[in-house]
Amino acid sequence: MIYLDNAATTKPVKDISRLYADYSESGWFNPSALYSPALSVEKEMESSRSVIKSVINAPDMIFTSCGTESANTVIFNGWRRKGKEKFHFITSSYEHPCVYEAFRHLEELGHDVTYVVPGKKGYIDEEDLVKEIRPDTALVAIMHVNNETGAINDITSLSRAVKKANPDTLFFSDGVQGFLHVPFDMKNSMVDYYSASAHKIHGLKGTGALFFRHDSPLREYIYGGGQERNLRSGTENTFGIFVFRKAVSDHLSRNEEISRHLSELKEKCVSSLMKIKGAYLISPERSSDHIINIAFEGVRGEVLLHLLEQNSIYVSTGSACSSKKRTYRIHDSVGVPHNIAECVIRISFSDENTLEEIDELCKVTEMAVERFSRYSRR
Amino acid sequence: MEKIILIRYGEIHLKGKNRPYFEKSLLRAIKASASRFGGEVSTEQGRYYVKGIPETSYSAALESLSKIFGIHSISPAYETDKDLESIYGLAGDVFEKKLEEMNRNDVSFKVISKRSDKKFCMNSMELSVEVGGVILDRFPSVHVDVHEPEVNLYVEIRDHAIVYTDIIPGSGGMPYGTSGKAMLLLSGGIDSPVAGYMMAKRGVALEAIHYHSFPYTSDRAKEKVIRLGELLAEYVGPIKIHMIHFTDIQMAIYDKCPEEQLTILMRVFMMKIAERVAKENKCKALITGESLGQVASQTLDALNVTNSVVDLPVFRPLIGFDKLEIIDIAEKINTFETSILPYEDCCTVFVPKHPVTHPRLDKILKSLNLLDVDALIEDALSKSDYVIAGE
Repeated sequence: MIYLDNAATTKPVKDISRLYADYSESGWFNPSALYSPALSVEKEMESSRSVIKSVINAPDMIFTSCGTESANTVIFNGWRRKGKEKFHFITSSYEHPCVYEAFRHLEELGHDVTYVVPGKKGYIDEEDLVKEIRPDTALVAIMHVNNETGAINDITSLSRAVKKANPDTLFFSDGVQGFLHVPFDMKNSMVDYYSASAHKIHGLKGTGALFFRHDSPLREYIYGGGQERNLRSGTENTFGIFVFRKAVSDHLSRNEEISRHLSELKEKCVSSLMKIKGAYLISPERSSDHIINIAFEGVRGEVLLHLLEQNSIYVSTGSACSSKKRTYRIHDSVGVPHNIAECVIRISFSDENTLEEIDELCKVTEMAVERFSRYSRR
Repeated sequence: MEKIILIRYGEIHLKGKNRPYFEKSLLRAIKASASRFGGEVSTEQGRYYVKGIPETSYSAALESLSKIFGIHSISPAYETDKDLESIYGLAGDVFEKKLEEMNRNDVSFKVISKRSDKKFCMNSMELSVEVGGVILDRFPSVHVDVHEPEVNLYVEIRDHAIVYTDIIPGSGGMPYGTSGKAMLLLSGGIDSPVAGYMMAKRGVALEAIHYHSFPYTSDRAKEKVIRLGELLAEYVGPIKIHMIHFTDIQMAIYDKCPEEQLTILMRVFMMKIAERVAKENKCKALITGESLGQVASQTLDALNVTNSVVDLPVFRPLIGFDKLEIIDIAEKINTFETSILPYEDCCTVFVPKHPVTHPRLDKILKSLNLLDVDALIEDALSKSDYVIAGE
């Protein structure tokens, strides 16, 4: 099996069984309880929080259940409400559904939302963004790394520009595909909120993070025992958190090696795939090393996906979260015509992929495109 | 008192000497459904009673029974002895339940009595008046309105006394299978499950045939079709779905025939294969979800071509329907959400740029002559299998 859908989810870290043995022996206590075994679980959890925060030098963080929860929380609770007053929001037209659909809901609630279009460049332009800011703009949400094209937005500069235009406007960045893949220093930026998801970086599903600043408004949203800074009650998913920490620390211990490897994989993959007939690269110049978005004109994405599947190579056509609804929202946003958009596949790497696997992918893709383009629309 | 389900049947009243046959088919379907919930079925003068269903599965049984074709209406009802005290007590209790359900205490009502036991001590009129009086005494805020009542309280005197307030419309139509069996061309889109439903409602037993372009289409697309079969099975019981390997035929057409004829030639093969499988499985007709003019292969000229390659009658119950009307039914029978899952299917993988919309039969037959039609069909069938959905 050659697994190249790491932007959808990743294989959990190695040695998880040892971690579980510890957990089932001494790590299972409720971290809020008062006796000492519970205290050590709490300490373990807090040290996990520190390790995870350190990745982006974040002021504070709560554990959530997933990236979607983190994003929804900011969009519905991370701005200054004044009674029933309606506000203005800005996001981009190519956000992940967990952001885009949440803003659509704010619109239904009567708020005004502006969708900034990245266009052919593939990034959100600072000027385009700033000119939309109004005195009543409550929140801006621009993703760090686009989950389909891999495009990297310069959220440090964007957040500074937003605050310059309106210091009261808050700034959120969906970091699910950026976290651990693209360096970012939250304290050195003016980003108020940032989200991450453990299962995209070899953690487990059901574990996410929401990073924030102490002075950024965030309302309590799950009421109960007051866990997680009194914002999100509920007994913490401690095992998920411990695996999250291990995934992060394993990565950090080999950070440079991993980046070098991923960039090597990407370079090789792009240069080989681009030699194939009808290849059209959608990922822009400045994009994350773990995502390649490419189309082969005349070969529908799902057809190519199944042809690769025949050889146990797994890729995706778009975001797995969108596979139940066929839309071209993301590719419309970056100016890709529909006849190309329907031919798109997304290849996404992890550190475990090898150059040999990339060779195999390129070889099989070339054969598949050759074989099928005979039957595609003439 | 016992909680029962009262079932009335509709159109099969009309069937003269065939009536016992229709009644038997309907009874079989009702028994099959009732037994899943532990219910027993008994019959009486043009109606059925389901008894012995535990309270916990009562509403599920009601829903399942309401999907059976041939049923005119259903009433959740209560049964008691034929003495006045029991009847008055039950009428009051049933009325009270209805008030609770409506969350009101000031409704208008009317008592409707029927008496098939002519030896009973009161006639219908007298019984209605007496029961009405009992209700007014027990619920001081309600009043009688014989013209437009908000609640109808039915009291029937038969072998037992039966009391109920609601008459829920059934699916209507004819008992499943009483009109013979037909082969449904099931694509995975919105239309074909609806077409199958409509013919099943007219008493046609269904078998289905699906064409896939493996490996270009996925297991998910196949699962989707099986899921649609399962949803239909809720109305008609398990359905056999023939899964036909269509890829090689599509490629042969692509290689040898004019591109603009690709779609219509595919339809020709689909009809021919469907007819062959239909005859092998004792189906007496084909059913398609075609709707006139909806797409290139559904123009009058195109339908003429596909019609002329088969002998069996082809039923197209949606032929005069608009898309929105079809979607309404798909939503009602709960297939819509599944139908719109966006997986590639055999008709989207191979699409000509400009399909011919007014094909001429002679030209199509000429193109077919370029292919070894029989060998292609044999080969496709040898690579095909079937599944039973909804078992």
